[in-house]
Amino acid sequence: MNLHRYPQLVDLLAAEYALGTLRGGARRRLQQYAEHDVVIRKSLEEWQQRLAPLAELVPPRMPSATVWEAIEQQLGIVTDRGGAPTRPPTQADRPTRPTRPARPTRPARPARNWLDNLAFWRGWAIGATAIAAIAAVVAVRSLLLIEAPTTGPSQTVAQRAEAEVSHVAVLNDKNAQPIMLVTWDEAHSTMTLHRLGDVQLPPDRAMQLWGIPASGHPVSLGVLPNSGNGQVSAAQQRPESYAALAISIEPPGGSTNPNAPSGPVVFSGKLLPAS
Amino acid sequence: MTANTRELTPETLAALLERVAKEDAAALRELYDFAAPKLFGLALRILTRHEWAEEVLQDSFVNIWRFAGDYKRDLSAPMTWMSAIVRNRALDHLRRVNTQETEWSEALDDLVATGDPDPETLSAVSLQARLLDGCMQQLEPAQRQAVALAYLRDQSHSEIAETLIVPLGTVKSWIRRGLSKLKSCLGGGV
Repeated sequence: MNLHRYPQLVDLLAAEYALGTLRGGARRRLQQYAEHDVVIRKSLEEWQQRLAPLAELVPPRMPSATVWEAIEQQLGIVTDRGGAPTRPPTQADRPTRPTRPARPTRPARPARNWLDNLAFWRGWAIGATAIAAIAAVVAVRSLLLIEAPTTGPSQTVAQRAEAEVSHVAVLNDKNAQPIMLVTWDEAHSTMTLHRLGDVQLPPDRAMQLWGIPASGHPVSLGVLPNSGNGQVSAAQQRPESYAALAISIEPPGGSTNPNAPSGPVVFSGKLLPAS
Repeated sequence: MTANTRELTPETLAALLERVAKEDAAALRELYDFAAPKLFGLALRILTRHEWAEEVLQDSFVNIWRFAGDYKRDLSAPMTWMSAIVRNRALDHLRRVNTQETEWSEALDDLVATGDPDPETLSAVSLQARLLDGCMQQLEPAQRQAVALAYLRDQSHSEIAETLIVPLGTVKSWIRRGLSKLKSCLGGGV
């Protein structure tokens, strides 16, 4: 169908896309059209801009003071809590500050490389790499067994509950190269990411982790740290619900589509029980 | 907030974002003082639960710190940009907790039913939001509510039909007409 003959239909679809009520196959098709068709893409972007200010029209409410403290903690920054603007920390005194170490420096702005060639990466490339993933998981299991006792002797059991890896996934890129290992600790509802390969994230993008159930739509498991290392909370998600995990490249804050990535899927792999 | 002696204009916010991009922690604190109540209101509206909304607010400011360098003045007003981050994070959270509980209808009323938004509320929002607000006021209340449920609560046509207890076809036509009115009101032609 040549959609250009139906400009009002295109406009309505774009409007419902931006609003979020266009779903399922229709949503994916419009997205595919938009990738190749500048008129449709423009209509979509216009609608997104038109509706975005809706989010501002909500009455303000005061969050509790602990939120700012948590932000400081997480970012490893310190400001005077008096309310008045404080002097900006200089690079020189930053390392001497207490609390946590300063956050890792922003990764050097990588050149736009693979993202520009990603349009054809779409789709969950799971089947093709399943065998490679299983091989990697076996290797990883033995690695975890070796690693386990090396946890520092200074840490008591109480300080650090023994991580219990219940599930693992090795996420591969399209060339079946392992890029990331995700270990899921069901008992503590956390997932730990270990970067295995090169992750070059474009400057204005974030990685989002998805759980892929055996049937049904993908479920977001959260936006990941840019480094590709660290822990994310699994909240109330359970690993048994998913056959595979995948990572897509998204705008800051994550996909605008509730039930699917809005950007390309770059890494994926089967989620397997660890024991 | 005692720090708000300066006016909360898009220029002020954009300048703060620029400093945040240079990893100026004090600027993040100022930005927080200015914008957190607004953004927290949004998160709370979407999530209804205090603890979830606070978690999302924290998460959002961590993202703002990380991505401030990518903010483009000519693409969106600072408050629109930050609100989009909060909305995405909040909707994401909502899906993760997979809640079906909705304490929404009552809280929604003050957003969609009021004919005269609090001027103090409006002073904090972008010009685009003020224009959109004016246009939202011109919709029929039911259309307005359907649009708000879809955008701020991520509800599908059938979920909205359930929430408002009306037939599915009615919801579809409210949304279509609502969107079309919004577009012509905002000067996008019919």
